[in-house]
Amino acid sequence: MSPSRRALVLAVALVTSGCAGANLDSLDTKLRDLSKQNTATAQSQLATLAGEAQVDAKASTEPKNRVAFYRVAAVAAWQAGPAGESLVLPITDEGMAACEALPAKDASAPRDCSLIRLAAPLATQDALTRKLMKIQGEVGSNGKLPSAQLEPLQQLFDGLETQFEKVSSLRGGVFALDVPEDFKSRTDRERLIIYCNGVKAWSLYGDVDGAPAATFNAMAQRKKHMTDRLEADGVATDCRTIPATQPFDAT
Amino acid sequence: MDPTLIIFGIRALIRLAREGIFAVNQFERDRPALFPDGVSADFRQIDFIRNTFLPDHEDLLTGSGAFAKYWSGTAPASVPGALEALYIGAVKIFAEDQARKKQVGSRRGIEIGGAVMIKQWADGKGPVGPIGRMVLTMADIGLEFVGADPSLLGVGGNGEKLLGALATNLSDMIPDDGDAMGPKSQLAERFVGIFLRAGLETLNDQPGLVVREDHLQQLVRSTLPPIIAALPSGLAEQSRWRDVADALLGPAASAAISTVAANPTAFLGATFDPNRAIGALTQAMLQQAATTGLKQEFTEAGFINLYQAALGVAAARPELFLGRPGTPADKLALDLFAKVTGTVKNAAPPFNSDLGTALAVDVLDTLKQDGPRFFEKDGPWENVVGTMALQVVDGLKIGLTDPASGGIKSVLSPQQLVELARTFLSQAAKTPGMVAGGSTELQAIAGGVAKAMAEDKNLLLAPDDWLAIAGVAAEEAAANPQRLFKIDPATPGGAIGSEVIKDLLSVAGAELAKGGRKGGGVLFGATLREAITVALRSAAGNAKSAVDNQSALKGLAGTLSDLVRTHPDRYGSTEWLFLYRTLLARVLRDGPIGPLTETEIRKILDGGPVA
Repeated sequence: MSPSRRALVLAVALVTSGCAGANLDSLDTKLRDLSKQNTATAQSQLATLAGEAQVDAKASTEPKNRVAFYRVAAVAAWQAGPAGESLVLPITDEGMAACEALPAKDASAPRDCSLIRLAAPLATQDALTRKLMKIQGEVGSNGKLPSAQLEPLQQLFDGLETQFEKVSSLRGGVFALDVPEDFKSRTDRERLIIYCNGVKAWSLYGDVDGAPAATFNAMAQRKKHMTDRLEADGVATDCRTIPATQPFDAT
Repeated sequence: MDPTLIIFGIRALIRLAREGIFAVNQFERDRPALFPDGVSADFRQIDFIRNTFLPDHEDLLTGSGAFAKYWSGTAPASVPGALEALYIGAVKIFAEDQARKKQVGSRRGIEIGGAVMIKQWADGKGPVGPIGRMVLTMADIGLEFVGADPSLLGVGGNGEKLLGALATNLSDMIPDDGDAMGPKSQLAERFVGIFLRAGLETLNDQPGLVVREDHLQQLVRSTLPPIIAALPSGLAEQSRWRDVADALLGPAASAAISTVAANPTAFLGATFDPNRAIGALTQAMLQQAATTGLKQEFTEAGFINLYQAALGVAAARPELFLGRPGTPADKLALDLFAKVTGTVKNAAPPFNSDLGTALAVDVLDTLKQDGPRFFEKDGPWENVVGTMALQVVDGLKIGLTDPASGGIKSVLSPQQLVELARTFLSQAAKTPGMVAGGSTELQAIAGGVAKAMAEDKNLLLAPDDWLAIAGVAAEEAAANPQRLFKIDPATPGGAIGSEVIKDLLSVAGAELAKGGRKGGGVLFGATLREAITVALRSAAGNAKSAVDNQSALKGLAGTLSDLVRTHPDRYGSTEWLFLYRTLLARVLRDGPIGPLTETEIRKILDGGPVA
């Protein structure tokens, strides 16, 4: 083959399938940069980024690249907060289907597939916790909440408990994969965060004027179940170690 | 070559490119990626108190419990200091619980905080690293060839030796950015594949080659790591380096392997490493090609021909690549390519291209054959290769650019131009001193002939005639220095060789004007060539007489032409040449001859003494 023909073959091969790596790198870098910014603008940009990564994923002909793009899309949608809430489930559903299509399923891309599966419950817990923080801000100077918050707080507790169960169920699969140890630690940390937010919801329920003791105590039993699950996995349940998320930077 | 192998070669190459792309994609996919923290609500003292006491220690908050007076329903009682008391109690109970559950101190889940970057794979569990990727690439390419020719990679086969040589040097070829899939790492994988493919093709094409694995190992070691390490830092330069290597490394590897196999004695028991010269030459060739580019005057073929010729010198005269004090082999090789391409680039067209490179190849071939006898001892011979070629080109320049005649380019094809130049070069190579010490004698000889050639406006001589005349001119000028073509053209009669040729061409031109062949003339083609040859050989030994009698010599030719043309029934080209050869000596000795009588002519033709 003449040098020019050879160069053509190489060029075609590069053009047709060599761009994915560079584009993935670019999206990952944007994701990293925007996630550091605690602003509404950044969240809006993260939602856009999620959409771009989703498009790239659909366009990708290489299965592992497709999963990698879905991982970026899922994390970006999760980190987009309210701006990305409507994107999370479609993206993670598509991402999980892409993982199922890999030769060894999640084992072919353990971190990416695990993150895609975790993204939905974690994004949901974030949405629930944002509501929880809003209610927390309504605690009066006497330390009490109006009785109207009983129902919302119970729903929040239910929701957080559900996300805890979901992530705990995924944990088994994650730990069975060849992911780094810090990914496993991170998964348990996310469980602890959900747990602590659940405890918070339950505790706030106790601050509501006229909170029924029976319901409060029943919720305490469910909370204990979560505590036991964490401790059985070797996770210390000291929520004081989890720093509170800061509200948006007004500037 | 077997077409099947060509197809497999292409497939292997595509596979190589694809593997490289896969490796890049894999690297990008597996880079550490963001795993953010979930949103956390503010966890207050009261939350800690409730979480610790309830439900396991509810008894302490109710009835006669130690903290019952501080607790009411679901919240602290309205008792001063209740929150503080409950918190202190909760801290104590929590610590005791943790101790009991053997969960003292930080455990999983609280060791890392904030967003973190996490790799795709656990240590040692991910896909193969740089060496593994190279091995896979080599295996893939090897498998393609096994399918086409199983014996090539059989036990003890040449292909196996090449694979072994590459495998032995793999660690040396992994650059320092290997783990980060940096550009050098990608380049290394690509180059190993190209080298292997070219090598296997070469060994397959030449099944009779006897190669030793240790030689191949040395070859790989001295060739690939330096060119991988030489990858420039800028993106544009990297791209250029890669393009050049893609185009040239395969043919270079093929040439290098053939050279090593064809010159086993050069690689056995040497007191120095000839492979070092090959490595230096490979790198120098690629660097020069990257600098010069492959799209304009110089093509891949030009560089590879030059490289092959230099390899030939390295194999036959390895001592020339030992280097000198202050000039190591690497610099010598770089200088060789730089000087040759630099010189050729500035040469007169059409020699400012691969044609010029071909002349340098001739010089190198001569160097390989005859040794450096025509260079100055201990001088920078690598600089002289280009200079020597340039002397010929500069000499020919006048003939190449003559606006009146269109130059000798209209007479000679490019290949014949190279042949003409080779005529002078080969003579110079046989003649010590012709180019040494800054002498421009070679240029003067080439220039003298070219100048004369430019006078052949009627194309009376064929290219082969001119090549033969050039050979005689070069030979006579070499044997008789400072006679036919003096270096200083300002010297009276400085270039009598040129003048003699021009005069004969002039006479032939006049004869043509009088009817040429139809008019009975004979002074063209082989006769004219022979006449010029005779004149040059005679003038070389009698330069002063030739200068003094230039006009008489021309007159002799004119007289003989008129004689033959006007008596076609009695005289032809044989008689013209016999008379010219015989009477030439008389003219050189005595000056102009008078009118020739019939009796005199007959006497000369019959072999009688010349008066």
